[in-house]
Amino acid sequence: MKKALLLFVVVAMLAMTSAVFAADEVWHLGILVHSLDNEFWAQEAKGGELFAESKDDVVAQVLATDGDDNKEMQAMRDFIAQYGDHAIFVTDPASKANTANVVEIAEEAGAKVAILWHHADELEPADWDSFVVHMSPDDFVAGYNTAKHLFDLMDGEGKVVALYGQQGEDSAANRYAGFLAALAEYPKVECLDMQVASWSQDQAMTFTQTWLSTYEDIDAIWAANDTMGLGAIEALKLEGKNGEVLVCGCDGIAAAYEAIEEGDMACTVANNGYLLMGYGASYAYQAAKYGYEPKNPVIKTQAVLVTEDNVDEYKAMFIDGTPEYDYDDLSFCVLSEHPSFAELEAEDAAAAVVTGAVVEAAEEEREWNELIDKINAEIEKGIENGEEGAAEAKELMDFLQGLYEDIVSGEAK
Amino acid sequence: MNLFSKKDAKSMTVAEQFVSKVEQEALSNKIRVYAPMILLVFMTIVFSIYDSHFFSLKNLVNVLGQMAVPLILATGLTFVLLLGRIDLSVEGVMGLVGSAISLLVLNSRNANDWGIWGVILPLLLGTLCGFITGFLHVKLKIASFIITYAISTIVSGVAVLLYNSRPATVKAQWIIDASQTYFLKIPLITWIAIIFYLICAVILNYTAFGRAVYAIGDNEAAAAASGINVQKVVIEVFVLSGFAASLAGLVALIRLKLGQVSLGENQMFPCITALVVGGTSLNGGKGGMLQTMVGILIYMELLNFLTIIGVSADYKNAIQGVIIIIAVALTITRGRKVIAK
Repeated sequence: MKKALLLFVVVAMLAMTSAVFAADEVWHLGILVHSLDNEFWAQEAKGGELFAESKDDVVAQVLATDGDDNKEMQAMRDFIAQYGDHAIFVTDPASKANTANVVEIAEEAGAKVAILWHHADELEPADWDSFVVHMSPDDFVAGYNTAKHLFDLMDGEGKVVALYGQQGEDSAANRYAGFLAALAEYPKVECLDMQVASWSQDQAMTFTQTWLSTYEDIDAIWAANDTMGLGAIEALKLEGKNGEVLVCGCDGIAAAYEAIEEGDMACTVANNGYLLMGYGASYAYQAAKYGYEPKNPVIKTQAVLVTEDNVDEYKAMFIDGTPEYDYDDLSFCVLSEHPSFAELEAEDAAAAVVTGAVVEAAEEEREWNELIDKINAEIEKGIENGEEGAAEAKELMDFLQGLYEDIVSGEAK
Repeated sequence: MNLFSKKDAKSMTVAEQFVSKVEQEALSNKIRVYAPMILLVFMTIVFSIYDSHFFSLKNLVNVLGQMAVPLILATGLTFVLLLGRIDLSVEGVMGLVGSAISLLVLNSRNANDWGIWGVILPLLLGTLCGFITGFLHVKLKIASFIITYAISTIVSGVAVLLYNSRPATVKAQWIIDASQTYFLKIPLITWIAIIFYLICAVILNYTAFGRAVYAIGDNEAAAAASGINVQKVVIEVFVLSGFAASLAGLVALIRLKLGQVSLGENQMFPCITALVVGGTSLNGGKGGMLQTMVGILIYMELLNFLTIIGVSADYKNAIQGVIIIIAVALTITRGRKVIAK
């Protein structure tokens, strides 16, 4: 009887072990996020877990870093001590500078890592075995798209104020750069003021209240994230101006979707933490298991502008449920991919030159048109007053204008 | 000048030295009490002249609304600072209470609708946190800044677990109405803050408890020797501070409607700054409710004014830092050691 029992125990243990190690190798995914007290970070962590659930040979563990460099490094070392080169990581790093440490620790242990959002200057995935891929939504595009949506709703005319994120953060700076780029395209939109609200709802509300008592005719409030947008909306509600003054957000948290449904918020961008961390994990996994090396390891991921037109769809997908992705199709998450940060920066610089040129040309054309309007007005005045030569001047102007338009449309000979 | 009499100290008798120190102390007390008030009046006048928006009714109402949370927190913290302690748990407790209320009243996350109990129970919970803090501080003799920090992280963690990383939006109409209610053009939440402040002012100035707080802050051993139950008073002060933080959590939630831990973020240090600017000493025993109000008004006016004139955030931080240093330098109890010798 005793023997039978012993045998049973041994068999049971074997069965359990073999269940865990059914595939001959198990990969341990360390999901490094700041904390779970922020909805977006929680979404990211869930994305990593969803990926792990989709694979039989991946076990995931969420490691919270509290945005602390040392905690993040310690968590990685502990994880590596436990699982050796079968540890893989996907991280929303504690800071920009810490990404270099993350890569070095992973490199030492031969573990693969995918890094999201931040990256230290001159840290190129191509230079490191362990640094598989860098993924991030395009903050510039997000800031640009939300701003553009606001300006279009304003019919390209009016006054806007801006709520900036945290000083010294890439995301905040890039989103605001996007806002400025959009602003440059709408010459009749004026930015009255920008304040740094540090992603805080409370501060955003306070600033908005002050603005509402200082400026009388604000048409829109551009906020660099949803929380600040919601703070602005609370301030507007106190004056009954919610829905009347347009507000945008960014990130795509549940409360922002609700605000869009209720008509208080014009738009947000679903940065999609599920996709970001899920696919980041998938890249690291493919690299560890199959030795996959992406040719273009600097990736900008898909992010969707959510407005009242598509809010139902995305709320159902991201808030009420969780999105289902085919994590083997790595290209699905890609908006644009680049061989290195150096190349990406070069592309951005080129784009900035083009944008700058377009803006300058638009400016010149406007000045030119203003001048012509002025001359025409003078001539009209002259005709009214019966001045000598006014009629001839008008004819000449008409001829010149016609000629100019012909040149512009390329029909001049 | 008394302030420059140090050089002659050697040539004085002990009695003379003592008298000189007492005089010096009296002068620095006067500076501490009156300088902030003069500064407040001066600031108000200068700001009003500089920008006409500042003294507009609308802006003053805004400032009064923004003042509610800091005033409540600062009122509770006044007692703690007077004891020479500090309470770092107020941010966490605010977050916990705000989150709990948002989940118990009508909200976007679940089907709860506990009505007024959805507010009262979290307030009691936050007050209980204050009791636990005070109890552990006194019984385990852990320094207040350590134990309150620990409690803060615990309650923030619990709060996040409560709403599971997805904060609830308050849908209860009576809370939404409360945020838009005004008496005499002053927001309801500010009235709550002012009433709480006045009650605490009476407690501090006209009760045995209040006198005990001053006595302990001034000299704990002497207070104990004169028959004050120091442990009991300290615990009671932390209970009061816990209640203040809970009330601040409620008020912040009424203002912002989204129940999350960040309701309390970055609330405490501005309050402590305001207290110190008002003239309450970090070493205990010095300060009072009047100083608290003056400090909060100075702080809120300054922030508001810097925003109105469009000062960038870098300068704002720098200006705040300079103000703290000046304020602390003024409130340091010079000569205390000498007298205690």
